[in-house]
Amino acid sequence: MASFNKSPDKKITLEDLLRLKRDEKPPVEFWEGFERDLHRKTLRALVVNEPWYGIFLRPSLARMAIVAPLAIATATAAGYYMFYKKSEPPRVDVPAVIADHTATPVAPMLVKEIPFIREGGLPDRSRRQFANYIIMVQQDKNTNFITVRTSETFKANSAKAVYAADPLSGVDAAPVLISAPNAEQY
Amino acid sequence: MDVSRAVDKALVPDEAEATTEVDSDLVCVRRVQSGDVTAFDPLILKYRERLFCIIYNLTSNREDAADLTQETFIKAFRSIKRFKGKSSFFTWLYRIGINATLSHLKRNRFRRFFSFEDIVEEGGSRELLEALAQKTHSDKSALLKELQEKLNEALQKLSPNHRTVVVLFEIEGLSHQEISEVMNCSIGTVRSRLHYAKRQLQASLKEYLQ
Repeated sequence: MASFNKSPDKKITLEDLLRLKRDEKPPVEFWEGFERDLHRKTLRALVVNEPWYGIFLRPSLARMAIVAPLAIATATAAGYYMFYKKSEPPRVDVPAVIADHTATPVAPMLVKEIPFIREGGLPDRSRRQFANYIIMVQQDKNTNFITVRTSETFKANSAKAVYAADPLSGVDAAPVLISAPNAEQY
Repeated sequence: MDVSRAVDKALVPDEAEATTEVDSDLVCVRRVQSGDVTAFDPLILKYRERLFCIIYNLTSNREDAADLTQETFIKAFRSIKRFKGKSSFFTWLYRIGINATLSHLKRNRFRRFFSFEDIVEEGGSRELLEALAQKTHSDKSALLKELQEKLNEALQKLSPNHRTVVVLFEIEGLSHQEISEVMNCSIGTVRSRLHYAKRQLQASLKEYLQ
């Protein structure tokens, strides 16, 4: 700071003016209130409620949040694979039967109830899977056979009907009608 | 010598060895980090005025400055575990305070309320005021009030970054290097900001500089 008393003609600089700001201070009482406020705010900051997503930000749970979905996804995929791999039906030689569907019709006969609507039933998912399987066979072979509904019974020409083993009951179970020409709902 | 003890000693320096200001800060910081929360109090007492002064000169508002200073200490306390000691404690603390203040200024750029602190007339400032009063042939107390207003206005005309550099260099007395650490920019940027800001201030305060 320039000594203005000793040299009154000394030019006042910007730095001199700005240094005036250094002496702009709050009174002593101000710091008492400041201290009190700071203490109160610190306490409030310490007891503040954790947000709902805070639990996921905790280190241990953050790790769980990454691992758990992966574990669930892996288990689901493994379960799905094991269940459907087992329930896949044996191959049926469909073309050999279909090829002869123009032969003389025989009197309709009751085929039989589709086994998977038997008492107790099977999970919906299984039914859907089986129905999809049938539709797939029809489309692949470009035939006009009637789709077998999972909850209905059909009369059909036994010679022309296409059968397959119940995919959910295994190879030894009674065969299930997949499709048949001129089949009628029973 | 036991290696673990040597490492501990390096991390938590003995208070007797802490001769410099930076070292004594580090001692307090290490104590807080090791769970002694009362060790944060001396740091508050030591830096509250300087931090308040910086923030006050950036905001020109006493209440905002008080709130932001408290917020800075709370933030520093909460994140003190992350302080590695690569920079000095006050650089780290100032950085938190300045970032909080710049965010506050950005949020409230359309809201401006100025409030003034009293100027404690001591040695240099008394001489300056007397010299100015003599030159302008005006009453000293009226001149003081007017000068305060003009200084605040001139500072507030600067962008927050330019204002910060001026406040840290001219009012707080930090070096270019320290300012560059606080503001996380190069020394060249600090110098150019300072040069530009001073030119602006000289234009705003030219009536007092003749």
